[in-house]
Amino acid sequence: MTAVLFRKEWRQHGLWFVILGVLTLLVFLMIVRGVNQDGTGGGAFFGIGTGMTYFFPVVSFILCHLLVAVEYRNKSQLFLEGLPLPRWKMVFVKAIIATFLTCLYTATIVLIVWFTAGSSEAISPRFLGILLSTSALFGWFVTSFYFLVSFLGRYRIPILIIILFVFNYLATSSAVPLSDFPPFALMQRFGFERDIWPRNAMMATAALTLLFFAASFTLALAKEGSVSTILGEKMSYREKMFIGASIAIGTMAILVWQTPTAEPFSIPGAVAEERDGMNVYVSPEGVQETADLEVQLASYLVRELAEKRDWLGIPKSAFPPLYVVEKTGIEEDLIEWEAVEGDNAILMYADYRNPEFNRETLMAWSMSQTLDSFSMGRNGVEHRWWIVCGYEGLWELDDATPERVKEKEKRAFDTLEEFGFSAEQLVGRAQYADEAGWQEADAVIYMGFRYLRERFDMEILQQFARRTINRPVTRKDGREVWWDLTNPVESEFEEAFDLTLEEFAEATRHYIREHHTEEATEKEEAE
Amino acid sequence: MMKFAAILWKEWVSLKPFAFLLLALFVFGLIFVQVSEFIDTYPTWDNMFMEADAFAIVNFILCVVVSIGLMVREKSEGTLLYLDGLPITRTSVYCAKWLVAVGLLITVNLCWLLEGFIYDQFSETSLTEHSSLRYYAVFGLLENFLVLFFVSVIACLSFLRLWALLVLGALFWLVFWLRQLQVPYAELLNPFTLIQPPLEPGDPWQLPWLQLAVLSCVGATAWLIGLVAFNTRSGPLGPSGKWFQDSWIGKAIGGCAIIMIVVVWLGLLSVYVYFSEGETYTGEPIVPEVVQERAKSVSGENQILTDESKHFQFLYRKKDAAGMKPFIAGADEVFEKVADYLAVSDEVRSIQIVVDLTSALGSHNAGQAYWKKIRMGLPDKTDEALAILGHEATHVFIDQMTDGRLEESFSATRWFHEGLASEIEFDLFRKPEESVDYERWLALSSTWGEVQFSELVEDGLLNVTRDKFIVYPAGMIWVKSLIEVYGKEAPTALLTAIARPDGPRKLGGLARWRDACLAAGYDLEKVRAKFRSRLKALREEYEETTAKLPEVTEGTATRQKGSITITPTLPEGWRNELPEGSEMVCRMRANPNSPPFEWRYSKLKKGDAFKASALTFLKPEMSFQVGWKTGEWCKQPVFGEWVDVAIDGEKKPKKSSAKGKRAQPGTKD
Repeated sequence: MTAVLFRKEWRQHGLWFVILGVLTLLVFLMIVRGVNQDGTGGGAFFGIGTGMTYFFPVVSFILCHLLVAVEYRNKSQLFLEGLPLPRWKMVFVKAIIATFLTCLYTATIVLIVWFTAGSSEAISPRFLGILLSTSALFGWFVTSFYFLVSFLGRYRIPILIIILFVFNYLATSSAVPLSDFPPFALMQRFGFERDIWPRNAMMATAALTLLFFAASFTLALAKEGSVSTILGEKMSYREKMFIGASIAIGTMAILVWQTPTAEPFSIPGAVAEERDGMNVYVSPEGVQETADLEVQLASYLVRELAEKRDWLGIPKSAFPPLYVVEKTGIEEDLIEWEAVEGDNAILMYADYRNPEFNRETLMAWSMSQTLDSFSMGRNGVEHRWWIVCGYEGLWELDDATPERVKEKEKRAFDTLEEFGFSAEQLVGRAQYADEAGWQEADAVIYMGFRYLRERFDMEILQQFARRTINRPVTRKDGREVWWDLTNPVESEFEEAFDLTLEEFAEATRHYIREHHTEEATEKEEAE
Repeated sequence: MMKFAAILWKEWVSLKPFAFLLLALFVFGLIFVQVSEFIDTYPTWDNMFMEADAFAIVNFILCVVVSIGLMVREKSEGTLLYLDGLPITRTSVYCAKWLVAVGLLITVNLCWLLEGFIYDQFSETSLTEHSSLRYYAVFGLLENFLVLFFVSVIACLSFLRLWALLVLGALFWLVFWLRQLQVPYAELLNPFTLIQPPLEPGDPWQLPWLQLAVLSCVGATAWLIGLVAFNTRSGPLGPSGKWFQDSWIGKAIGGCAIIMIVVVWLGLLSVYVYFSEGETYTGEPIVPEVVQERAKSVSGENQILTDESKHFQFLYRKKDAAGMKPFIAGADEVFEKVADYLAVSDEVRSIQIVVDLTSALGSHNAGQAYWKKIRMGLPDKTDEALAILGHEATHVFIDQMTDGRLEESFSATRWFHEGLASEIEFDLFRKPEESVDYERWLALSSTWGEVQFSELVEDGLLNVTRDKFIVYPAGMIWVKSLIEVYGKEAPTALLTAIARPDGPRKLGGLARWRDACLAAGYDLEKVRAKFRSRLKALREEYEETTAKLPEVTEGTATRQKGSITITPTLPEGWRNELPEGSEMVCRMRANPNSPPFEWRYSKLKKGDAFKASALTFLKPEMSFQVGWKTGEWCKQPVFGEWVDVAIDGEKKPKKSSAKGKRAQPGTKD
């Protein structure tokens, strides 16, 4: 009776098996030629590996579709079930045919390519053995998988799409080294590894293959075959659209959870300072005999930053460590910044041995950068950044020499005279900085915040800062935007200082002019 | 009219599941943006106009979903006979189906556009070059034109049933092939290039009238063919359908078609992936034919022979037998030297490498390495051949030592692969003065713009902004810096750190090297500092010559007499002090996404201009990149930056760089 079943399959699908075999061979030869077309492929067997990974699953799918899915879709299995033979035997014959044909196809491909390209490949019996066994085993795995999937009837395509998406995601967007795992490990060095049998991968693949075949039998025999019969029904147009939408939505939903891995970051040998949960590391450019300067800088920064952090009410755990790396030759400001994936550290470069370097500036800039990073850029949006710049100015110039303060005042005055200063320019800081220069814009806003400090209690300034720029953000989503929209900076400012932004701009203009006049008077008196 | 309205209603009911699909996509898209983006930093320019390719592909997929069964499903489900019994013409049915499908797609596109417009309003900053309403109008027009085009073409092809997918795939291949051959006007046939925003926000977005006209003709023709096919009694393949099902030849052809559909579409997918990822950025064109002429036969002098040494197995041609003797004799010493340099384990030392000297190599390559195999040519001089073998053997050892870990993030590690191989090649197998060429190359390139380490670890970016081959000298100098700071064993220590079993996998960019240095106990910043100082020293050393070779960062493009003329802006008297044998070359691309095979090349012509056929540059804007071939001084052409220009447009003032500015966070470079 088993022989009759074999004959039945052959009569029903024999022509297809031959066509499939011939076309598979032709396509493989095309792939082998194609991947070596520009001379970078690496050899004929590399082409087979490529074909096995990307094309052979299609062959297996068609094979299992013919043997299993067509039988259930046409309901011809009902006829077979009427025959006096156990159901498992019917499935067993199909599995044997699928396994045999897979082996036949893969072996033929390897042998033909070996025969045609053998002269330009160094082939040893061991190498040929590795090629034949790994390709056949990989083929069997793929066939066993599709054999199982074929019993899922109308749901097999959506399931395949989902699996394809998941594997594509794992391969391209995750840290999972998919190619290390069986069965993919069999194809990882296919055509190049000539000495070592991938024993572990082979055993694991064989086990998976058996598992899939066992699952196929379970599904085919469950409830006397009624499960696979029901699944074999055709899908309606409505169902197709519903499943299509579900897959698309599911795909997007998964992408929501995709977050970049935080980069491991540390600088060995850097001078480290820790105070009250704040960590600062300073690293010199070359090998220094003493690290006095680094120790001084680190200690200053850790003290100042911890103080500012607490003043702003930022949780210790949310405040990232600061790394300062010496970099000579930085033009203009002597300070630079570089992004660290995952924002789990702030990396600043500074030419801190340069006589013109100013550590207060580094501290203030580091603070601004931290405020931007730990809020995932929310403090860096334009309508909020001027606040950061204002506080930055105060922090930078709190202990500065009178000359530096005077220089800032003069810069603010010159900018005011040339470009003016209005509420619109305050919140439209990007354009103001683009036209006047960012240091000029910073000077103006510094004067504005100095005015606030002189007129109001420091506590009010602190409250305003705590209400606007101290929110740690851990996820990129709409919540922060809606929070921004419901708590506009303008009204927060007005509530804190009882001033509109227009009034603040007006007051700042007066303050800048006033200080310039004072300075001019002092100069005249001195002269 | 009532009849037509009724049939429209019937089609709407029939396409309700598809409408549900579109609605679900739209609603979920809204939610998706809310839970994954800050919508006030989500400008339309970046997320819609610059992603026009993706929108075209999404539209194509949706058009395939709706159109492939739109016209033929009535016949498949036997409802066509019922429709024929109604007092309406088939033309009305065809038009109604087409209108409803197109209407649904246009509606969802407009909804997406409106969504983008709203986000754009939220994302406004004082510096925003506002995406004007004209941009929205042009984008919407072009996007919805694509809907009309795709629905018409796919509906027309759908009468071929299963064959439709094959023909559609074949059409893609045809257009791809024509573009690859740089056939004039071929680009006009590619609907996916229809939506191309201006290169910079604020520039006028002009309609591609010529391409619109061509695609309109194709679409209208497809629409009419579809109409005629729908009006035939049983469709174009009606009578033959049964024959296909019943005869064995029909079955055989059908079987072939199924497999070919898969092959054609898989091929397209792989080509798309190939050109949209790393290879998009290759600096030189991909040569469609075999790069080097492989011997036509393996008989006579071309006969392939084999030989073996302790560490290598060689495949070579009989005609090279004389040159092979000294090469084979010296090969094992090369193996040992490289193995000693890298202090490889005994296990790695025990491998035997296959050296294939018979196969074709990729463009510009002297050799290629794969796991335990090397492909290389056989130069006349044995020393040269052994140096190449040393370079390629280094690649093999790197892979063996790291178990291929560097391949996992090749974009971040290619420079190190090539840098270390070059360092070993020059250190062990060449005379010290031979590295001068690499130094000059790097000196000139970094004079025009500092070669940043952050560029090296992003291969794609590096290839876009510079020349992909610069990883050889830059990588070599970096490895020299590493050795200078941490000693000769440092490269091995880094490789060992990367290969550690518990190390992170697939790390990209700077993270890959920060992790490796951390694990090896090295300070990456010290090496970077040394690298910078070495570059500075090189610039100073070759300043006298590099100062004579100006970088071209501006120019104009004009279209006249069937050709594009690029006139680079050159300083006065630039010719006066040029090193002997220097000449300028230029490569041009239609847009930043043009694959390298579409680039055009030109030498400097009369009137200090470059020329190329205007038929390749049919859009209002293009880009060019000028490089120097300096003859004996440096054998490699050194390219400057890509310059975007409007064809026949005014010369745009160069925008000042944000470097050093801190108008907004993140711009501190």
